[in-house]
Amino acid sequence: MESKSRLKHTLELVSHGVGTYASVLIAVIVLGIAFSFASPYFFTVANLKNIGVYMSASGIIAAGVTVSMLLGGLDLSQMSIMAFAGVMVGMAHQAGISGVGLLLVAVLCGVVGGAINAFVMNVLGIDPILTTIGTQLIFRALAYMISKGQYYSISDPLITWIGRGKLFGISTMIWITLAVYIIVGVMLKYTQFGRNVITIGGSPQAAYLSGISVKKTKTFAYIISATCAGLASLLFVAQAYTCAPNAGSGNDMDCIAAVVIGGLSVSGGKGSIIGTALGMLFFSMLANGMSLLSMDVYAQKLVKGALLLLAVYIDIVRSRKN
Amino acid sequence: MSEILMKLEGIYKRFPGVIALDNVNLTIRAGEVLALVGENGAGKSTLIKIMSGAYTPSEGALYVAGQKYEKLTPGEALRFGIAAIHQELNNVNGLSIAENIFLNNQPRTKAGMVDYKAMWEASRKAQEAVGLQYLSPKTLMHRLSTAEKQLVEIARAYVRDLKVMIMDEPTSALNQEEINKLYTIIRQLRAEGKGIIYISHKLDEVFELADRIQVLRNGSSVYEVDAKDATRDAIITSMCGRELKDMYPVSKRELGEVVLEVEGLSDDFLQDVSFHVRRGEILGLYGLMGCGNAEAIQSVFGARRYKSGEISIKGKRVDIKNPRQAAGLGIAYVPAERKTEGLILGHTVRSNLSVVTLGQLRRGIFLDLAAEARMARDWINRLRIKTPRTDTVVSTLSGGNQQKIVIAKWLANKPDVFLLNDPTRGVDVGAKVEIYKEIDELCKAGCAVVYVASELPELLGIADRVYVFHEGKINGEFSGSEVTQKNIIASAIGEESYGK
Repeated sequence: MESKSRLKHTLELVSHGVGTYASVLIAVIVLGIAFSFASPYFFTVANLKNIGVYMSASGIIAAGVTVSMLLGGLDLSQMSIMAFAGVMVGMAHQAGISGVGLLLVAVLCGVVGGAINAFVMNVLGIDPILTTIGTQLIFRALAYMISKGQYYSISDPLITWIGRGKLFGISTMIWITLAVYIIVGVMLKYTQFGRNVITIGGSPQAAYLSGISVKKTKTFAYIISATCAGLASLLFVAQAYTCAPNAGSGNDMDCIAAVVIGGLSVSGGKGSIIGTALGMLFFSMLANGMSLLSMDVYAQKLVKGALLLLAVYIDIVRSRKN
Repeated sequence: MSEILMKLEGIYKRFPGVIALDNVNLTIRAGEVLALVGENGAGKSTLIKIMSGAYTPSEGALYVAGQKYEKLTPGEALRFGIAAIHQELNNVNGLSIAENIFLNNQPRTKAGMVDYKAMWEASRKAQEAVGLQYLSPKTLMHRLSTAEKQLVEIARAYVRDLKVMIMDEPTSALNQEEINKLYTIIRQLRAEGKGIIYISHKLDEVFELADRIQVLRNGSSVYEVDAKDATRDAIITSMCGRELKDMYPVSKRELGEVVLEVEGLSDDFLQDVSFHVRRGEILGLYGLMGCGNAEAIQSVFGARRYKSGEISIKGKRVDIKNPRQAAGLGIAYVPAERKTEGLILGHTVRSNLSVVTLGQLRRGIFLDLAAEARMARDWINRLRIKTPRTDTVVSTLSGGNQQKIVIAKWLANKPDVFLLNDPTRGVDVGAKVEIYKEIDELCKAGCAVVYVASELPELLGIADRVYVFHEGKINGEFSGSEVTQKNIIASAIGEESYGK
C-alpha cells in the first residue's frame, strides 16, 4: 500500500515535471521536423554541431541570467561584459599572459562587472533593468575604448583547446557549457544560496522578514550572472580566435528570450535550469534554421522579437491561472 | 426639521464568513454634523464605502435626492454630491492646486481644450471657500502641508456641488491650529446646508462638532443620540459589549524572568514607548488602527527603523538592524500581511516551512532535502496543517492553514520572544482556536509572546496584560481584573482617566 502510493506520487512528480517542460519540448521537436523538411542541411551531423557551438557561449550566458531572473531581476549587461572580458583577454594575451591566466582574467572581469551591477542596485537603489542598461552601455564603451575599436587575433593553447579540442568526439565548448549547467543547476536546487534566490524571487518582503539577507544574495546572484558572461567570452573568442569589441552586440535580449521561452517566470521565483537548456535549444535551432533558409537578417530579428513577446504573454496567462 | 440629503435603510453587507454590516439605518440632513463612532471592525469603513459607491450592499436601500437606489456607483455618488475624504489623501502631487481641484472636471474652451484662465479663476473662488486664498492656484501640491492638501480635497468636492461630505478621521495628521481651521470650515459648510458625516475616535472632537452621534458595534448601529443629550460614559459603554464568541483555550502559566524589555522607543511616530514581557506571558498590545502598536513590534524585529530607545533581550542590550539579526537573537515575527509578507504564496508548503531554519538543514554546503522533507512532515503533523502533500503550493490552502505555516516556520527556530501582528486576521474560527492553543503551549514552554490585535475580544480572552496605544504613545497598562472592554476602549480613544 505504502509503496503503491509512493509509486503513484513518483509518477505524479514525473508527469508534473514533464508537464512543465512539455510545451517547450514539443516546440523543439516540431521546429526540428519543420526545418528538416525545409532544408536538407538542417538535420546533418555538421549542422547539429554548429547548433551546439552556437549554443555554447550564449548558453553559458543564459545559465547566468537564469539566476538573476529567478531572483526577480534581470541582467541586460551580459553581452557587453562578455565583449569587455574578451577584449581584456586579448590585452592580457598581448601582455604575455597565457593559458589559465587568461581564464582568470575572463572570470575576474565577470566578477567585477557583477559586483558593479550589485553595488548600483543595492547602494544607489536603481532597479535591475535600468542598472544593467546603464552598465550595458558602459562595458560596451569600455570594450571599444580599450581595443580602440580593433579586433585582436589570439593564439594561445587554452583558446585553441576550447576552440578545437574534443572529448569523445564532442567539442570542448559543449562540455564546458554542460559543466556550467550542472554547476548552476546544483547550486540552485541543492544550496542555501540557490534556495534563497528562488525565495526572494517569490516575495522579497517575505524573504526579508524570514531573516534572509536579500542584499547579500542579490550581490552573489549578479556576480554569478556576470561571471558566466566572463566565462562565455573565452568561448566566443575561441570561435574565431579573435577578440572583438562588438561581440554579442545587438543580441543582448537573445538569452533572456530563450530563458523566458524555457518557462522561467518573468516576475521571478519560478523556473529551473532545465527549462533554460530547452529554451536555449529551441532558440538556437530557430536561429540556425532561419539562417540555413537564408532568411533576411532583419526578418530574423523580427521573428525573435515576436517570439519573446509571445513567451512573456504565455507566462502572464500561466501566472493568471495560478 | 431640515431636508433629508441621504438615507440608508436596512443596509446589510456580507463578506464570505463575516457580516460586516447588520441592518444599519442612517440619515443625514441638510446642515448637520453626524458623528460616527466605533471600535476597529465595527463597520465604519464598510459603511463609508457603501455611501461613496465603492461597495454594493448585500441588502437594503439608499435614498438620495428623493430616489431609491439598491446601490450607488462611484460616478453616481460623485454626481449626487457625495464626497468622501479618506485618511489616505487622493492628490496628484505633481500638479497644481487648481488642477487638483478640477481633476477630471476641468472647464473647457469652445475648442474643447482646458480653459486655464477660467480654471485659475474658479480655483481661487473654491480656495476662498476652504480658507486657502493665501496660496496661488498654480502652487504645486507637493509643496503643501497635509492639512492644506486635505483642504484641497474638500475644495474639489465643493466645486462639484457638494451635498454630503464624509470625513474619515480628518484630524489624525493635523496640529491644533490646523484642527481649529478645519472646524471653522466644517461649521461653515454646515451653515451652508451641507450634511457632514464625521468619523472620529476622539470624543472631544465629537462633542465639539457633532449635532448627532451614532455608535456602531459589530456591524450594527447600537446607539443614536443628540449631542446635547449625550454623555461620554454612555458613548464608551455603547462601544463595548462585543461578545466573547470564540473559545480561548488558555491556561494559567508560570511567569519567568523578563525576556524582552523596550525602553523609550521614539521616532517621528512613536513617542517614548516602553514595555516588557516575561517568559510564559502573553502581552497584548491594543489600539485603534494606526495607533503604533504594530510599529512598535516591527521596530523590535528590525523591520522598521526608529530614532532612539533601548531594546534588551534576556537582560542584554541589543541593537537590532534587520530581521536576520532578530532571528539570530531568538525573536520571531508573524506579519499582518500573510499573503505578501508571511508566505511565498507560489511556493510549496515544504520550502515555506524551512525558510527560516534552512541554514540548519545543511550537510556541508549542500541542503539536506530529505531532512527538510522530514522537518516539514513533522510540523504538518504537530500543528495539524491540512495539506495534501509537503510539496503542495501554499496559495491553494485555507487562510488558517496558511497562517499555521507562518507560525510553524518560526517555531522551528525555537524563539524566546514571539511577536505576533494580528495573526488571526482572515482565519476561520476553528483554526483561530488552534492558533490560540499553540500560543498557550509556546508560553508554557517558556517563550514570551507579544500579541498585537485588532480585535479586542481576542485580547480579553488570551492576554495576561495589555498595553493600550493611542497616537504613537502608550496610554494605559492593564492587568488582571483591570483588563475590561470599557477600560481598554476608553484608553484607546485617548481618554486619560481610565489609564494608569
